[in-house]
Amino acid sequence: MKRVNIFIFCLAASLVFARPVHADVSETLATISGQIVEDSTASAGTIDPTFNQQMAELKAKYRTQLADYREDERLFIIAKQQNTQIHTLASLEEAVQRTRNVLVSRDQVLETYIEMLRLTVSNTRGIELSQKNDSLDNLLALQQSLKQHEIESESAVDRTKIAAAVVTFDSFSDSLDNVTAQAIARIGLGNLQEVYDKTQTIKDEVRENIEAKEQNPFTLAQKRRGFEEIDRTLTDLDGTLRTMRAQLGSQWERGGRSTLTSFVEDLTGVFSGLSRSISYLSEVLK
Amino acid sequence: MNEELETLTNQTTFAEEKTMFPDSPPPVAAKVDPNAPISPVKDKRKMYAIAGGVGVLLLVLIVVAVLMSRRTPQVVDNTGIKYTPPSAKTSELQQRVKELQADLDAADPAKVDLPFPPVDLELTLDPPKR
Repeated sequence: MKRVNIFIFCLAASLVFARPVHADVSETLATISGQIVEDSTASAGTIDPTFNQQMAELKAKYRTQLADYREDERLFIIAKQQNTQIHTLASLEEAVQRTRNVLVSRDQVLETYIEMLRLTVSNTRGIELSQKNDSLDNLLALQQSLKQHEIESESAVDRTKIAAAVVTFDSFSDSLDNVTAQAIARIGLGNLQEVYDKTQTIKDEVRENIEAKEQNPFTLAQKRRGFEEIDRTLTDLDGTLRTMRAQLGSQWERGGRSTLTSFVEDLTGVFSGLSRSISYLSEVLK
Repeated sequence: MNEELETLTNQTTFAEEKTMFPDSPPPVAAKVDPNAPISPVKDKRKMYAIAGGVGVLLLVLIVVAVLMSRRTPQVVDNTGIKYTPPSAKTSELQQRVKELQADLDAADPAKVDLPFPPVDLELTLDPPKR
């Protein structure tokens, strides 16, 4: 009888102690599964919740307009060559009509493109407010110019009016180049600035967590040295970001797209630094 | 004769057994009664020994169970690789770092999401006047 009692006690004791272990494992597995589900539904942070939908609609519209423009441009080139070769009134009429069409479809492509840029600038958190407003104003002004030019081109029924419409477009084409290039640069810098800010916040939380939980003094010292390295990298990046932001403070006067190319090269350096910092962060979290 | 026969049949005594010294008394053969009952004292000792053994075994089991409960559990995933699950806070931070990496990938300046449209900005019907 006594032996039976002892056996029951042992069995009960092993069950009591074994239960929390299984419960912990189940909780952990549930947490991991939850994270996988969250991963699949995670999206990039934007200000407007309808941003993705609006952007998708604009992109679809842009693709259609660009296809129309390409067809109009092809027909314009053919008509222009024919007019140059045969010099008839009919060929001239055809060339004027094809030129008008291609000018209008180009304006439409550019208007939609600028609308996409405006939407993106407006939804990029990392852009400094004054620069964001500056870009939004400049892009809106460009959109208005393009709209007016579209109306002017639609009513250009002869060679003289077509020539006038071409001159009007030339009057703001430099601005089109500079303003759009500067907006792209501000979006690029803003995106990296946002990642930089998030990195700083998460780094502080990771540091707090490790200082509170790490009990091995050797590992703690090792991780503290890791944080010193991360701090150094982020301080350097902060300086670079400030300098680059200052470059975007004033208007780009000329050569917008070539200035953008060199700016993007500098942004790539910031990207590499951030990538290194995030990699260090995941290393200290292991 | 009887004494000699007993000496020869008794396997526990030497046949030529004699005293080493003349003065010392002759050795007395131990007499064991095979039919004598086992004393109750010996039975109790046996019980104590079994109970002690079970007690030690129980103690070992309890110690092992306590150690197992304190140890961080190991999880074996589908691939068969064992790993120690991190704490909830660490898992959350790891997840956020992963999201941060995804944000950074999306912000790669080499991948320009909105390149300038491939349109001719110098369309004109007549050649430009120089």
